Amino acid sequence: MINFLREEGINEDLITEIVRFQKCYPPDPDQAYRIPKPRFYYYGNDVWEAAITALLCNENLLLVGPKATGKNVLAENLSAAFKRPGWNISFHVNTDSSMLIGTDVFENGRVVMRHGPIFECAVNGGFGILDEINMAKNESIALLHATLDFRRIIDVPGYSKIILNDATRFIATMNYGYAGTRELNEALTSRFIVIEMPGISSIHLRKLLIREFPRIKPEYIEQFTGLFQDLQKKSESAEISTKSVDLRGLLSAIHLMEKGLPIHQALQMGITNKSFDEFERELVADVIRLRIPDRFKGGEVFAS
Amino acid sequence: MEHQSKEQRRANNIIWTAAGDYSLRPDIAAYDGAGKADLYWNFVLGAAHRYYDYSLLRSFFVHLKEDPDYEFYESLTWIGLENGIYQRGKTDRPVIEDLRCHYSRRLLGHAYAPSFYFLVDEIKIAHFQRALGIEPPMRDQVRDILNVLEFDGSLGTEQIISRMNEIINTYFSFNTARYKRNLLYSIFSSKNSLRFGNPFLRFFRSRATSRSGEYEPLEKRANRTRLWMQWQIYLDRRDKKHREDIQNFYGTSLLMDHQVKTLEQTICVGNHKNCHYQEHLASNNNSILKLTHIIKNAILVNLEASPCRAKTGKLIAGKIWRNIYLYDNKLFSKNIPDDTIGGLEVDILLDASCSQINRQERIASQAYIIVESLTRCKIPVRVYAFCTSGNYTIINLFRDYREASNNSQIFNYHATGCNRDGLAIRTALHMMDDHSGSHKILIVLSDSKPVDPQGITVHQFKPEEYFYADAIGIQDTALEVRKGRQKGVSVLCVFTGLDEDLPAARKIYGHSLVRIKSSERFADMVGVLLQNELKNL
Repeated sequence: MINFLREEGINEDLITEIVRFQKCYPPDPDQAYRIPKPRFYYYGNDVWEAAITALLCNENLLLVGPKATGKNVLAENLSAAFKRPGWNISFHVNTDSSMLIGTDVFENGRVVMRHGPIFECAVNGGFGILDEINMAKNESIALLHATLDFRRIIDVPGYSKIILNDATRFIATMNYGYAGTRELNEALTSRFIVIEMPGISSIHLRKLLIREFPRIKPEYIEQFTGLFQDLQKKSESAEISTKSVDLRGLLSAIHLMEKGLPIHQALQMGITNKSFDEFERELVADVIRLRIPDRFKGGEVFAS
Repeated sequence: MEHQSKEQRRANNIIWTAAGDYSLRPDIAAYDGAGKADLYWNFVLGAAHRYYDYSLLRSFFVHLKEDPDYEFYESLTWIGLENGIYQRGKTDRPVIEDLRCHYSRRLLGHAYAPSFYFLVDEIKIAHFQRALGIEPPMRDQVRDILNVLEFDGSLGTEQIISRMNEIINTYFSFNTARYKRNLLYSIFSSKNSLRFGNPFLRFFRSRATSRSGEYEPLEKRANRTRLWMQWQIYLDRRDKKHREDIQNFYGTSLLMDHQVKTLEQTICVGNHKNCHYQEHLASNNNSILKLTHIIKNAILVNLEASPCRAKTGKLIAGKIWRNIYLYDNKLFSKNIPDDTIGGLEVDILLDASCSQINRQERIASQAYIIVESLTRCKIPVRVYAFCTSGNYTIINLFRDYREASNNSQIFNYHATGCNRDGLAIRTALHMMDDHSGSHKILIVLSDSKPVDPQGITVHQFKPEEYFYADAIGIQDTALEVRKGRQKGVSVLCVFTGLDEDLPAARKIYGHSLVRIKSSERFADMVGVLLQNELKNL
């Protein structure tokens, strides 16, 4: 991971600081399996440097952005870069403090506390990834306020008070506008440093495609990148919804092509059909037809 | 109609994709024989914006219009431009090589027999045969024209225009205009534009500019407004007697110097109906979906779920006996989220004064979008418009709370007369009083420009009056809005007017105001406004 950061040209001072952090807080061998091994890398030096600086300064991060902007990729990458075990906690409308901190269970004839992920993360100095934090009701996670601010404690009434391990950081992600999402209240927001995640740029998309598909022909990298940008622009102009502007879908479609599926069929499955509005599908299909010839087979995308 | 507008939107989308610029309004689009948007030609039209200075091209086309045969020249220019765009575009998008071949084959497959050729078609067909790599037999003139016409990708816009001028001067107008035409007719028997010649490709000019009032010259608009006013005054006079009979429920004086004459409910039929809405059907449908989604989400997020007994869910131990003794299966509790807000009623008040006349179609569409979205969320909504004519303030009811199927009545909205906003809001609040809803929202679609010749008395014992406009009108309206808020009604404004009236609107409605800059953002803006209101319920 450190090598990747160097390759990307991240500020050398920050990298030195990360290495120092790693030495200062060596990973617990019991928790080593929790240190993520990233499947994708996040590209974007500004965001990287901002995030690293914030974490080094003992701040918690809130990554805000639409889908497929790499919020979870970055969160996982950060956890890997700092070599800290990660806890993934998905928030939903019924998330409450007992799910996060722990709940009483009856074991061997007595009531004991089963620790929740936040508790484990706090004790073990992990990186807690709070996914879709704005899905939960603000009142039900008010208990996190003390955890996230300067107090860095978890006080469980009737149990005990835990002071957070120094290496503990929390990285929350959120997306406006999904069904069921709500505004984060001010008290919670003020406990985070907020990074607005930009959409992937063509340079970074190119890098991503090359890394993900080493055999892909350069002219196709250009066309797929162009296709994604065309769709992005169309969605920004509100001509289509964001459903078809799907980076995951594009990557999956190229995977299908690698296995030999015709290009158009793969793109239809990965991108066009993500929209359930017939007319919108037509618009998306037009964008694809302005990039990829109808007659092409999937195998042509890759150099043999 | 729907099909046409869909294909139009599709064509525009192809053009925007090719141009990479969504701010432009395409003035021309290409359709095939079946009325479907043509992929290749719309790409060419869009790419012209990307690769060339389109403003120069546009002024060149305007210049061509001086000649009665401008369609011919225009088509000729596009054939040349197609070549240049193809040369430039094929590195960016290799696919256009394929699209071009495909198009050429389609064109040649449908082409008429040679004896029926029009010149422009002959040139075009020869050009696309060349595109397929065939050197077709053709007349020398055609070959000469084609050779200079097939612009190289390296040519700039100015060079293309001067080349085009050269072609026109050399081949088509070496003498007077009359002679030119005769000669051409004698040489080629006929020349014509794509309009008749080629069944395969039709250009349609966007009629947006001629249809929407916004682009009309100011004098024309003013003139129309004046005529409308005169007509309205005439109508008023004619109907006065009749109206007096109808208006049998006068209210008592509410304003200190006025009598509120009536709450007149009429449904008048406008001549525009819902054509504006249909024109933008796709985007309006999108807006409705978006707004419905936002409102539903606001309700979903802000409302507590109500627990009820069910056959599955969380076991209520205390109820187990009911199963044993009463065979009752409902021993569990389940949270059922409410998808309606109890006791919420929304009134929508449209400003139907003359100042809105140029945007009445748009206002009707916007009102319809809001109403339809609220209807889909099962929120009762009532819609009426107001205008003032002489001593009457007319409230025109389009849809009452329970008339869910009457939403399209809103398209009967039309703008006439003056507006006494303060009185209208007071009347609306009065009408809302009669209903028992626990939460009430009044949405006013207005340009916040109260004007009424009937003034406000300066003092009880003085005969002078303040003119009901500008500061006085705004102050009076603002006062009514505040009174409404004190009563617990949320008064929101969707501002439909001009920039210059925005400060007035802010004064009247405070923060509960949205200004619609573009129709695409309509749903989002109104959504935010309603969301904030629903949150506070």
